[in-house]
Amino acid sequence: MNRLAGWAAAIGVLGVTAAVVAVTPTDMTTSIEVRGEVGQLIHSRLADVTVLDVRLTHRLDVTYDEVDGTTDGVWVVVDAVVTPNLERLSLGDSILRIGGTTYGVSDILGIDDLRNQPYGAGITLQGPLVFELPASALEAPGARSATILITPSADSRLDSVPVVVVDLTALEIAPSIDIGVAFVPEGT
Amino acid sequence: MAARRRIPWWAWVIGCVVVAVGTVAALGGFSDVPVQKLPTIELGETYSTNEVDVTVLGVELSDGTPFNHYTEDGKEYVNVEVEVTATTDAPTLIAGDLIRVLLEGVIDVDERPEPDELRNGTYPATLQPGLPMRIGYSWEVDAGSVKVGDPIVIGIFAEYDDPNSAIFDDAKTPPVPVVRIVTEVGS
Repeated sequence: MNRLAGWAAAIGVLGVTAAVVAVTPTDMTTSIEVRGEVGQLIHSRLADVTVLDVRLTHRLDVTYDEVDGTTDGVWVVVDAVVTPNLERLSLGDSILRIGGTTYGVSDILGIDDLRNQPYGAGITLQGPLVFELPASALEAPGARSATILITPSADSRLDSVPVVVVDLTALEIAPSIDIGVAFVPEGT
Repeated sequence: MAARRRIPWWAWVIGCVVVAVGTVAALGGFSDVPVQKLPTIELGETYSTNEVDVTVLGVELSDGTPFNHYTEDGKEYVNVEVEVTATTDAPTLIAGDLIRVLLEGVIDVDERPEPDELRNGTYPATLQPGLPMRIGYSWEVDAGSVKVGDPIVIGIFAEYDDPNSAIFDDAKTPPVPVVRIVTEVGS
């Protein structure tokens, strides 16, 4: 009887172990997405972010530099207001996801776009982030719920990241969009 | 009747090692594949690595780089133009390590080029999925050390996921050559 109980206990322990393994997420270091909508203030640990607008265009007209802003694909222009909560930030690891495909923020605007936050905590900056996508990306099923992550750190594991979800297929593609430098908005 | 003599265990071990080493040696040994043994493609032909589709469009000798960022007097430049498209589902950083050349006695395959994204002359840091990028790779040489028509080998390199990295989840192996183009320096 004792031998039978021993086997039963061993099998029970194995079963519980298997169940724990099965329900435990394998990606334990992912970032914590704080979702909001365009126009909504989104709080995260490192930054407070409001995405003001998301626009599409075939050409960026950069007003402050001689930049060839043409593309074989399409530009996604994300206008946002960002306030660092703790220290200076870089948004250079921001991404746009369409289905299972990830696009990184473009560096075509140099150091004067919203990626570089030269000021410290509490100083708000407003400006654009731009993403360059192949035209076919807008035809992907995931384009109806594209996810934009305004990533305030090079290492966002287990950290909160502001996120907005946008239907890119509902947006008109403008022939061109004027792009200016990021600035500190009045009254902030 | 005499008993059959058993082969001792250590003789089996030695025999297996000899067979294994002999097989590896017959297949080319443990050393890296030499450049001369890499498969070849033609200039203008598209080759697909694990991360990109890449087409080497041309190689020319010039007195400057595409945007003259690095141009010096008394120097000339071997410029290789490439079109590359990432086939991955995320941005890739391979562009800086994608191309090397071998120009006998002048440019060694370990010599890093200065790459320019040909739209704006910026460093081609990342390739976005599905978006073609034209890149100019430039090597500086002493004026007169290379002539139009000199033979040149252009190597296309690839890097692979390194799951054993203790630092990064998305670490890559060092780039390795996967294919070569044997051509001449143009003008």
